[in-house]
Order: sequence, then structure tokens, then C-alpha cells
Amino acid sequence: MTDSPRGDEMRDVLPDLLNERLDAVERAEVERHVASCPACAAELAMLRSMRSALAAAPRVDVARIAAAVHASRSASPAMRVPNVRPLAARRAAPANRRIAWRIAAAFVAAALGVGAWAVTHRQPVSVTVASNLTPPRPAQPVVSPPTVGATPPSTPRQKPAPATKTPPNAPQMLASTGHRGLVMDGGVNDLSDGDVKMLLQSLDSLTAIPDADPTPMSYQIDDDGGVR
Amino acid sequence: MTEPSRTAVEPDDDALIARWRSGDERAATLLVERHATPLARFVAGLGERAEVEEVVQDTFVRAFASLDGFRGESSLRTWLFTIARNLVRDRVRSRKAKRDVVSIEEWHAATEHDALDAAVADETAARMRSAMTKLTPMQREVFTLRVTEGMSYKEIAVVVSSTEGAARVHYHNAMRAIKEFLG
Repeated sequence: MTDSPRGDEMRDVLPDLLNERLDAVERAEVERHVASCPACAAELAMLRSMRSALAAAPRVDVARIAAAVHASRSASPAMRVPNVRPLAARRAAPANRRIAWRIAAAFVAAALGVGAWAVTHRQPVSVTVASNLTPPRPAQPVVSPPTVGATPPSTPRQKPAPATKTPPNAPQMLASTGHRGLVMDGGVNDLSDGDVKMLLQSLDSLTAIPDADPTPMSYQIDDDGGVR
Repeated sequence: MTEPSRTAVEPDDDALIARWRSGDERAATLLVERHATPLARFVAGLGERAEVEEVVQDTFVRAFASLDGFRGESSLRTWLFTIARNLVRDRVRSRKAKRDVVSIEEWHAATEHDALDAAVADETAARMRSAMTKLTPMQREVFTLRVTEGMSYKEIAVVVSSTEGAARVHYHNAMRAIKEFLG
């Protein structure tokens, strides 16, 4: 066996010669070398024997396998239009999901912060947390003015709103702004599980979630203690 | 180095994949016909002789089910062999977990026995198969892919999740072990 670098290089490509994976120039060069190198000729003969000994493949039923492929394709609705990912899969994309949760967390944190501020100042306040990410929709009238916190004894208590059919803690529409917003009577902790779920679902359904953190929310305190 | 020879009228794998994606089921059949036998040979060489067809079928079903995720960075052929190898490894692991292990050496002993019993078996072929039992599983995979399937080291590296250099070393170590066995 030759130990020359040339011999090593040639031995390395003998399986390629055997499997006809060399182009015409390479093939001619390797064949010339093999003809003049007994070690490489012996190795090529051995590889040829190995290949033929291992070549026998168990018979497989190609038609049956192809039928299984077709059956699995037709069984999977998603595979009928292979290049389209299911909508649910897209909505469940981790990045979007993270952003949605961050927005929800921002809403909750803001509501808690304003609630705490209202309790501290003992003023009757109205809190409106309106989403500026949602396009305007036809508004429904707000029947009851939302309030958060207790009314101090020194301040004249505002007249309670007329009776409403809406549950006191349910999220409502803001008629004044035309925005769909969350109007709360009481703290966020007073929201029922159903209300929280509805809020999160409405956040989930946003169609144009920005690929960035939401802009900080600002609110304004009215003379009468309301917050916008 | 060139791809395995194919007649000019025969569409290549990429063309068949495109046809299949556009709804041509015949394209899938052609791909199965093209790759089933080499896969069966490879799977049998790894020791899954009793369940070759099941593994090959599972390979194709999985491959076509996730063909959208196939980015074409390697050839379809390489990808199929990678799936088949992983399926075989999963089965071996599963059997080990069930303490129902038939080692690759036992399988090869059985193969050798079958071969010797067969009327057409010849001594050289039997010795060659016996030589394969002297290899480690990784050497056996690399050697089979290189010699029987004619894959390049680059393709082998993809299939066995290794590097080109490591594949080359495994091949030459396998060659050395086989030569020593054959004397």
C-alpha cells in the first residue's frame, strides 16, 4: 500500500469511483492511478466485494408505502394546502403571544396603579383605560359612570347613576370617545374570572399587534376628580 | 463529484417535490419508488431487518408530512436517510428501555446464519458481512453510506449529525478494522 499523499487522496475517492460519482476528468485520473497502484487496486476490489455483499436490500412494497403517504396526506387537512399554516398555529406564534401578554400586563399594571392612587387621594375618580390599538367601532351608551375608590366624607357624593342592566364590573364601551375601552367600577381585582378572560380574549384578537412594546399610557385628571 | 446518474427525461427530486406541492400525487409515488430501496438497504444494515418496510414507510410518511419544513439545505435523499436513521435509533432506544434488546451483533450473526444457509450465499459475501459486525454502530453507518450509497462525507455528516472530518475518520477507521478482520 502506498503511503504517498497522492495515494491517500486517491483511496479517499475510491467509493466515489465505485458509485460513479466522479466527473469524466476525475474518473480518468483516478482510474489511471488505480492501474498503476496495486494497493489502491486491491482496496477498490475489496470495496466492490463489500458493496455487492451489502447491496441486497430487503424487498419493500413500494406501492403500499406510496399509498400510506397519500392516505396520510388526505387524512391531514393542513396537508391539502401544504404551504399555508393553520390560522390557529399562526395566532399561537410565541412572539405574538408574548406581546399580547405584555400588553395585558401593562393594562393591569396601569389599572392597579390608578386604583392605588385613587384610594390614596380619597377622591371619587373615574378610570377609563381605553385601547388605542383598536379601530373605532359603533359605540354603545355608557349607562353608569364608573368609579373607583371610596368617596371621602368631606366631598359631596356624586349622585348614583340610573339603574343599569349591565353588571357593575363588566367591561363596556365608551360612548364619548367612540373607542372600545375598559370601563371599571371598582378595582381590577373586582373583575370576575369571566371578565378577565374576555379582556384577554379581546387583546388576543387584535389584528395589528405592533412588533414593539406598547406606548406608555397617559391619563388626565378632571376638575371633578375624574381620570381620562 | 457528481450526483448519481439519472436519465435526462427523469425529473429530479426538487422538480418532483414542486409537483407534489402543487397537488400531483404521482410525484410522491415517483419519489417513493426512487428512494425506497436504498433506504431499505440502509435500514437493514443498521439492524432493523425485521421491520424494514415499517421503518421505510414511516420515513416517507414523516418526510411528506413535514415537507413544508424541508428547506432544501440538504438533498431530499440525505434528509430521508437522516429521518430513517433517527427512526432506527428511536426503536433501538425503545427496545433497550423495554429490556428486549436484540443487539446489532446478534442481528448480524442471524444474518450471517441466514446467508450461510441460503443456497446462493458465497463465502466471500458472508465474510464481508461478518466484517461489518466488527465495526462500531457509527463506523457501520458511515461505511454503509459511503460505500453502498455513495454519499460524500458532507452528506454523511448531515445524516449522522457529525462533521465532515469526523465522518472521514470514521470511514478510514472502519476500513482499517475490516482489513484487519479479512486479514
